Amino acid sequence: MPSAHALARRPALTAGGILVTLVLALALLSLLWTPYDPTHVDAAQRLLPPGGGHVLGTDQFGRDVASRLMTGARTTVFVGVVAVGFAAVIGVPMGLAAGMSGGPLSALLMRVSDFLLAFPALLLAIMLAAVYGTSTLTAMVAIGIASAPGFARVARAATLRVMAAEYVDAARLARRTRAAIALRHVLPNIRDVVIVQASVAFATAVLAEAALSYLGLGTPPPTPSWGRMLLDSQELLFSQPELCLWPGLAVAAAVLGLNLLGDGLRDRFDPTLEGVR
Amino acid sequence: MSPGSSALLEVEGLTVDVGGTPLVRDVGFTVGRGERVGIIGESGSGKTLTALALLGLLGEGLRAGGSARLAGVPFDLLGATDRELSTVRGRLAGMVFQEPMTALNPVMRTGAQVAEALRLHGPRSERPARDAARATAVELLGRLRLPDPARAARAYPHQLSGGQRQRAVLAGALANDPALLICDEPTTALDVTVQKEIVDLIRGVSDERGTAVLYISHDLALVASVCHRVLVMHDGRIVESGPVEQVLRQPEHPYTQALLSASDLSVPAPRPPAPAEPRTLLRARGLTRRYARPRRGLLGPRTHFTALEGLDLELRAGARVGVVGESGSGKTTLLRLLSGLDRPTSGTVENAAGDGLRDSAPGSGLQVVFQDPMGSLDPRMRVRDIVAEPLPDRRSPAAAARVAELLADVGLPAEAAGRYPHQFSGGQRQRIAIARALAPRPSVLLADEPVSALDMSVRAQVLDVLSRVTAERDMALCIVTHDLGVVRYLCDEVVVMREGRVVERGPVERVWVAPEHPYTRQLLDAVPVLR
Repeated sequence: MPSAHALARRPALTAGGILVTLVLALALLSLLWTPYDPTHVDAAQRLLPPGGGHVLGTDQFGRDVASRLMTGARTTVFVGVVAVGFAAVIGVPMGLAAGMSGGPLSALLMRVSDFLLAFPALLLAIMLAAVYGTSTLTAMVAIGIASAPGFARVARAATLRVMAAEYVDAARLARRTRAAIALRHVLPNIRDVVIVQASVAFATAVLAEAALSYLGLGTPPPTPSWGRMLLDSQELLFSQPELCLWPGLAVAAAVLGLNLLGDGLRDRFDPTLEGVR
Repeated sequence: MSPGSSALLEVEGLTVDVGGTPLVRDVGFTVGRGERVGIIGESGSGKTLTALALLGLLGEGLRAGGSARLAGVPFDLLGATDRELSTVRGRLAGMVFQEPMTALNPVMRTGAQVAEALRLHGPRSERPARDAARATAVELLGRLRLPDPARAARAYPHQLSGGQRQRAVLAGALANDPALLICDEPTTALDVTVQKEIVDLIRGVSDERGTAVLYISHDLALVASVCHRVLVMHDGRIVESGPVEQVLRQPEHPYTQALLSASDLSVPAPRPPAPAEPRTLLRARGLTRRYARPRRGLLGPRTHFTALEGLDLELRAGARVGVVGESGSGKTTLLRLLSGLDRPTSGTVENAAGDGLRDSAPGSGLQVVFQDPMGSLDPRMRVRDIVAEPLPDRRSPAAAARVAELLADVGLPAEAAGRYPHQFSGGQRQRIAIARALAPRPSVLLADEPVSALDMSVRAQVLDVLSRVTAERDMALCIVTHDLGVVRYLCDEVVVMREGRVVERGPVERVWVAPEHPYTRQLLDAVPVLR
């Protein structure tokens, strides 16, 4: 375990870790307990101010905002994990293959990645929603496809660096197959940069999910999601501004936390800092 | 030649520590005007930290204590603020670093960088105009014997060779005619013939201008050829100091004695008895490797660069062949072709895998020990897995037993198997690399600069391990190196290469005593020797 002193030396990593842990804790807690049923509509309890029985008040349908925020964290984490996982599963092997093969295959893979990068992610989400209907899954797939090129590029750059190392030559002399070199030497050595990329992609995914839900292309009602809450509160922006403040703050905290975590991890893994303890 | 009597630099009780851990302890010495003082030590001895502390260039977290007075400076260098020190750096004391490529700004023309040194560090009142500084820069580059100085001034650092770059760095450091020049391993990254030129230059400038030099190096012979006085550092302390002649001839401290005997490779390693009927293990015929250069323009002609041309080589059991050459001679290309890591443009490589000679494929009957023992070991793997990698049944108990046997063979303890490469010193890592190379029972061992990244005191040990393990197994050993001393110590036959061709080959002793080719003679002359 890192000591308190070590944590204080890496404020970004610590702050990011705390924020991300908080979001995760909220999501996990919501599985077991929320103050109220987040989808329970009660016309008599409409637009209650914060305090009293409802910590953060209720929305225009009388649903408890705090409960919806907690359950929304679940959607956010779920979408993030699946979308980033999907992106990594597509992107990392692409980058690995491009970095290890070189030549025409590498060029082809990287042009495919460029094409994906140039394709507007929102358009992709709308297309998928039009074909498969709006659902959390469609949103996750769209976000995953849009994030894959980032993984491919980062993995390729790191792979090229590893392939230039003498231990790869030594592995070839040990008559290891290309697959064995990829699994035993390249993957473990590019792991760090992939983890950093994942934390940054996670932040983007959180933002994208909120944006898609806000546009009505993501999580359909009544499942709570932060983006959906923003959409619902928009018409009350002037009379009940705190209703959009809570989900807005939640999105900001999660994205900030993930970005700080990514920065902190990058500093931690930076090979030029190796040996500096 | 005689150094001035008054002290230029007086250092007392210098310490450097990081978070309470002392790295340099109680170092004190003086440098007289025009005197050249060498600091000798191995990696981690604190020699570079000492120099950096004097100019306030220590990294973050490192703290210096003690006192250092430089003549003509009203304050103590070690207690001074950065602003105060900036009046010293470059004007009263210049510094030259090991790697000339990173010491220069890659996006700035060489001449402009030298001119910048003149303009930034010169006294404010007599700061030269931009044009005047440029002209002076060209003149300085010329004085440091850069061919065509006006052109060199217009060139970017990457357009110059390593030696030319180091001359440009030296020009910047000497721009304001400092009283003290600090050189930290200025020639370690350079070829041996270029090293000689740079060292001659430093000595010449020092004699001519009366510049005192603090010369930091791991190379005893080199320091002996440059300096009047030498300080030997070990484990953060100065263990011995005195005139060069005295320290080298009558070393008093046991560490100095050990260092001297380890650096001395002039007594060859014991030779194994030659096998009665040595069979041919590797045969290369007419090896040529050309690389395509990028086209100049879309329709430009395709040109080629020939890294290696028409090389023949035969290795018999028990042979020890040294391939010598400087950077660009094609020796690394040769090694990659012999080992099958690269394919020749024309020519053949056959080796004795099994019964007869066959076309070389990577790893068949031939293994390589690489130059950088950090880069050749996967940092994420345990030593056990690294050494077992070439074995066909690497997870079996038999493989584990073989790993233990190999580790013992190269002189490493059995518990090394469970550790990671970064937990070992450079010499130990190279032993791990040797153990891995021996694992598949190759008949030929190729070694690419196997000791050039290592400290002097472990060089001989690693070479002895190479010598012993190959002799015990009736293997052929082929060492590719720039270091003639290593070849003489270990090899029977030498092949001298230059620009992709063999210029001379023959028995080591004959080539050493009576070199035939002028280039071989030039190489031999450039090697600093301990007399």
